[in-house]
Amino acid sequence: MTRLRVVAAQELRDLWLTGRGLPLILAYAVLLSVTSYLVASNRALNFLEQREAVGLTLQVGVGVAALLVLVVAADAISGERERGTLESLLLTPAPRWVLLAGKGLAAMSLWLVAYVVSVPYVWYLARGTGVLGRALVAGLGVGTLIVLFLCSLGLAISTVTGSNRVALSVSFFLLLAAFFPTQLPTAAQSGGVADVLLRVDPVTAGLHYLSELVVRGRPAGEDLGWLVGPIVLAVAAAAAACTVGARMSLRPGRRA
Amino acid sequence: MPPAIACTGLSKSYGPRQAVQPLELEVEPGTLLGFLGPNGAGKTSVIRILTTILTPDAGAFTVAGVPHDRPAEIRRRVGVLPESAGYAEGQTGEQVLTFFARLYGQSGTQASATARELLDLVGLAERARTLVAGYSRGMRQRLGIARALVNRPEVVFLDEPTLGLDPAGQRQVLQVIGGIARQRGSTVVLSTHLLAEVEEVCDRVVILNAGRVVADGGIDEVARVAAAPRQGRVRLPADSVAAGLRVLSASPEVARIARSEARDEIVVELREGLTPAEAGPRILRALLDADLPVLAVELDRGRLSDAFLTLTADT
Amino acid sequence: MSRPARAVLAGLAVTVVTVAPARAETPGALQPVEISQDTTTTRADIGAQFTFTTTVRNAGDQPLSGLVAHLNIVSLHADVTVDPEDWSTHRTQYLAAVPPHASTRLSWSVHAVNDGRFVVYVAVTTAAADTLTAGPALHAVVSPQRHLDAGGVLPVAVAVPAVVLVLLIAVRRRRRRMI
Repeated sequence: MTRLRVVAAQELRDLWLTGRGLPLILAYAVLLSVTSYLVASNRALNFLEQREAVGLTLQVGVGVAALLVLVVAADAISGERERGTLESLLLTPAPRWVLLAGKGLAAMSLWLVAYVVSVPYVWYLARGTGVLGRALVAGLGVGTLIVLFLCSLGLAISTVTGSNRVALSVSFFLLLAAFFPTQLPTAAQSGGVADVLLRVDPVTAGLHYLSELVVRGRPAGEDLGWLVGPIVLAVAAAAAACTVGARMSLRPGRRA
Repeated sequence: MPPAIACTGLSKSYGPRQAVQPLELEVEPGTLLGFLGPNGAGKTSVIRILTTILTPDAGAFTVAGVPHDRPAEIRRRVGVLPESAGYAEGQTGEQVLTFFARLYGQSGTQASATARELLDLVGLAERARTLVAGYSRGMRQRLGIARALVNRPEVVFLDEPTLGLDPAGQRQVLQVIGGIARQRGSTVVLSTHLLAEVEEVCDRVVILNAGRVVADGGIDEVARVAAAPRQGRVRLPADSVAAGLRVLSASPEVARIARSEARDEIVVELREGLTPAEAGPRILRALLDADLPVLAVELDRGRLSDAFLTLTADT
Repeated sequence: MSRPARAVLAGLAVTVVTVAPARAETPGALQPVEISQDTTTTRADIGAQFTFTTTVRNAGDQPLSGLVAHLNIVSLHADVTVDPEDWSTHRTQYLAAVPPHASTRLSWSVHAVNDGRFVVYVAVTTAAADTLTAGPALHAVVSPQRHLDAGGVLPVAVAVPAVVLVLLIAVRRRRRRMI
């Protein structure tokens, strides 16, 4: 555990003091500012009820934060490989899954900071609706599940791919695939297979739960079934990433 | 005391290309071994195998007495400066070393002390709190060497530590490497293709070519065996050159003679297997016994560069 | 459909539904079909969701099959345009066969998108679409509620990126000093 702490601390320093952490969060904050300003000011969007505005902002926040975390995670190992810094890490006696998990924790910190940044926006949009508390709690919970899933996916891809570019491309493709069911026409979202797809895909299921809770005001326990997919897949993806990470090598495909 | 490195039948292929042919090698503790070879000779592959970064296709090895099937234990006992070592640009030299020391299980206080000691050793104490981004290439290489020493390794592998450095930078790095072996008692494997480096600091050399060991021994020994033919010049007064030619052609130490364009100089080629130290006095004795007024006998020393070029000529 | 045309249609619909009793039988309607509703009035804030239930009864002696129920929303103000798609995503329900003297219940979920006074009603037809029966009117009064305004969100929208930017500049400066 000490080594995990050491690696995570180092990665956090790297990300926030010298790396891309703050520029990414700045872009994120600007995006949320634009979104919330439009939601609050645009009369053409007046059919958006306040709770919908909260839900929309939360969904944008979670979605964009997931993208940022995925970018950092996909770069974690393949980037080190390309910068020539991976070999030195592999030469230490630290277990390789610890190296991966430390990087994963640092990447997840991006989500936590993004979440904190989104709080003022949600607070403003949720004034008088009575959904602020549940929006913040559900946003944190659902967002963490979605981000953990995508972060683990990004780390695993980064571990097994030979180049940074491939890792980023594959990760983006999978991110789009994960968001795809949310874009299905309403008619295509009913039926056995579609229902399973919507519930299994952590992004769709998580955002659906968030929407039910915040926008429709349904009790938290009523739609918990929608969280089964995200919870199972987030845990499974994290475990899979650690397993893949334990086999991390200087050249993917060649066992060290 | 077990050998610092011992390997038998070690081999590695990348697809159809055999990077390391079955390799036999034993290195005594405390040796400063020069690991020579042209680009693509397999030096880096051997180092990566011995440091557990790559798995060999066949063979077995021990490093610091630890067998290859305990890679984590080997990693605890070796220090490595990889061939293309990158650095976290946003950290100070002290932070880099402290981080690595902590990965080897040192406490925060111990790790800081180790970092300061090593920065002092490699001459970077004054730049300890400067970001690596501001380091010159030579400073980075010295930081890399310091990083390879954070765990007080029994065996240190340095892969091309002077690559891309100017002469002053090379000298600084070589001084540090010499110090590691002398002061810390570690076995050092110095992989390079710069022969002068090996001649300057190493006490044993292994030349690798196309994944095979083609020479192994002390520098003079390798040069003597491999750096043939060896030449020399004998200078005599012009009227004695003809007599000198007769004496030298009869000398058993001389394989071939020729009159130089300078009329008072005879070029001699020594018989194979003879060192200049052995042949020089005998040639001089033969000339003096013939009452010839010898002005000078200059025999070329066997050079590692000749040996290297000879042994790697087919690549 | 153009805005005036919608307004005219809205007016006609109001005429029809306001004369309808709680148990409606439209002239020329499916004689055996009776439509009733659990409520005839509702109040909601704009953006809120409200639900109601319709009961479709087969008053005849023969089973009825192929019935189709459809939800519609009518604005009682000419200047408020209704786009029913925004109000409900599931406006049409296809009924299973209804035995003689039996009934079936249909749930409807409606999203109050505009503020004003509206009439919501359900009409039932057959697959052949030869006749139509409209249900009783549900009078919906939607009150405006808007807490958001551009001026209010501006401080948040400016302050948050500004704080992050200041942090970023501070970190960059510190980094430059260390090189």
